[in-house]
Amino acid sequence: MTVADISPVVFVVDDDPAIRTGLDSLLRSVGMRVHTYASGGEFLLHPFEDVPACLILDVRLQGESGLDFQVRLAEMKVSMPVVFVSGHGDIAMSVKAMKAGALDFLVKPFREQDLLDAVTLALQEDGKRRETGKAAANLRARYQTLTSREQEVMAYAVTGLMNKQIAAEMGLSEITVKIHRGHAMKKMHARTFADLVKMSQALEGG
Amino acid sequence: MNTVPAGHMAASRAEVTPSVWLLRLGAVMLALIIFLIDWLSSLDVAIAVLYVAVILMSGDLFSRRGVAVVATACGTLTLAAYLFSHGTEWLVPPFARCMVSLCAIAITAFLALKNKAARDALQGQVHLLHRSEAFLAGAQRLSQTGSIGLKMPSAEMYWSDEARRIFQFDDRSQPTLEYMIGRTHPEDTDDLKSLVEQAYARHANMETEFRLVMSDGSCKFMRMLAQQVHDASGECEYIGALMDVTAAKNAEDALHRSQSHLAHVTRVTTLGEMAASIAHEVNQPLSAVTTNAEAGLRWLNRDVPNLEEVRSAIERIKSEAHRASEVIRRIRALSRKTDPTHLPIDLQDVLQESIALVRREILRHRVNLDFRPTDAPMGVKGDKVQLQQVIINLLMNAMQAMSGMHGKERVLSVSLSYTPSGDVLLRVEDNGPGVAVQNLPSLFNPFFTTRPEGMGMGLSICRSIIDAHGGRIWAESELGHGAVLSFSLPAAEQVPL
Repeated sequence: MTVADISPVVFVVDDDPAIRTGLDSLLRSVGMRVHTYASGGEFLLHPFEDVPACLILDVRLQGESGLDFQVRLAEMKVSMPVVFVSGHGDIAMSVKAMKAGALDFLVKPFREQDLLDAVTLALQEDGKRRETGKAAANLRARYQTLTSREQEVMAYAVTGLMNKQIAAEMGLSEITVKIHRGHAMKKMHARTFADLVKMSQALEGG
Repeated sequence: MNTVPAGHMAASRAEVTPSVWLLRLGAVMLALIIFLIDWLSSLDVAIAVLYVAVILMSGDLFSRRGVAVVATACGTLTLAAYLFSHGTEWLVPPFARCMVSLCAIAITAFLALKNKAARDALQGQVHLLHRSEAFLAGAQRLSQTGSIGLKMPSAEMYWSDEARRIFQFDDRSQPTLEYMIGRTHPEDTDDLKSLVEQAYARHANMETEFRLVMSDGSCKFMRMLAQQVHDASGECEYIGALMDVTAAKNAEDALHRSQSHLAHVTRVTTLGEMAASIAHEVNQPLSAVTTNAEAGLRWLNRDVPNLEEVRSAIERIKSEAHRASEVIRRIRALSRKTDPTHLPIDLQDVLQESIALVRREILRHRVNLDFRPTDAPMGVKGDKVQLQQVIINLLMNAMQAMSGMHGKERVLSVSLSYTPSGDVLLRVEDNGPGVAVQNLPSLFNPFFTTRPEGMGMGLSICRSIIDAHGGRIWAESELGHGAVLSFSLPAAEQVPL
């Protein structure tokens, strides 16, 4: 992986070429990677990179509107932060966008610093989201390596049962339970029993 | 013809003055004196011949019947005087004298009666002439039409009273051509001079319009028609009718003014309906300008400024500023209140400019515009702003017609072509719900609208604009299959490049 490939990327979807080039230049001037598209459809044709990203979306697009596209993205489970820009600030419109999960709603002509701040924040959020996403995935992967017995032991253990009680519940010897428990701790990379409890909670939540 | 002399006699009977009565009495007295001399004197002359004087006098004093009565009376008096003085003797010299007198009286009576008849007829004609003169003067006064006669080549002129009144010439002076040209508006003198030249060149018919500047500075609009006539001696004369059309002209001007005012108001109303789109059209380039300016500054403020990026940012700023000013220019041109000017223009240019103005509206209504420009210019003569107004109105109407339509592609087709007769034809077609057949004829009536928020003035203004351009505007529609609104304008040859 090269540095360019892991640095965050900003996507711009606006049907006005002049606005597109302007935003492209502005974002590049502060060292961001930028990709611009004239429509939501064109944006979706482009494969996503596994890096923090955000989308600057014009509300009034030719054809499918920005708000409609935002809904479509959510349906497609694309959870990239969206910063809306609009030709005219319509309260109803901005409320709708924010409710649908937009990170910010800027009215053209906006202060460029506001946009850069919003983009920076969006990228940070996406970075964080990706981190937590990644950690959860890791955890799940580790959990999958457990045998069904180990998983069962772990499930009993985190509820606070003693090894002896687990053995009685499962009809096993206490030694066997101890071994399963030790394997589970090891495979889950849990240093302490408290870690294992937290991981179990995270798995249930995820 | 027959009734007029009778009427005239009735008039003369009514007009009998005391002096006429006195003269009639004198004639009777004269006749009596002649009778007494004839009867009582012993002169051997035909005194009775003097009755001729009485008959001649009576010609002026009595009607024809009166003259006949006088003549009969004179004859009777002659015979009576003879009978009183000579008894029933005949074949004597006095009898011969009496016969001569009677012959003289008869001949004079005959001539007097004939003369009287001729005079009566002439008087009838004169009366008729007076009456028709009075008719003419009245009609001229009422219609503010004067007559001018111009004899060629002497340039001698005859003016009717009304013509003098129109030109404000007094009755004493004899108006001449120079006088007439002197009263003419400076801008129109050349026209009038060329008309006079045409008269010298003996053109048969002439027609012109010109203005007069009166002594108080006011302006009069004149229309003049002149026709050539030849009199018996072969001399050429122009008889002209001169009409003061100031009132009609003023009314026409006022109508044009209020029409152009109304057109302006509806134009501004249309712009109002497009306000959101227009704001967006201006805002978009402005936003691009600020973004590019900020980007340029940031490229410049880097540790190692990237001048290439700065340059391209500034270039984009420049072109976007032009784009914004272009939008503003179009709107200002459309909202400006000017008198319509009819100049040769390319209708395709006007159409493209109009489409540019409603571009945003087309996007907003999610309409697909189908328009392919033609290669050749479509020359017409007209007012660009007003024609733009018509086109925008048709485009907006079509879009509004389709706005209630869902689940079907909205298509707006615009085409420019020539009709078989060579006129320029513009068609605006939508695939909306169409217009009911019973509504088609009233579509262009003022205040007719199918939209609750519509004023119903748009198409009515369109029609008056197209009418003023000598064109035609019409609608075709089938309910459920969209509508086509078209207008045609006479093609003009020259289009300025």
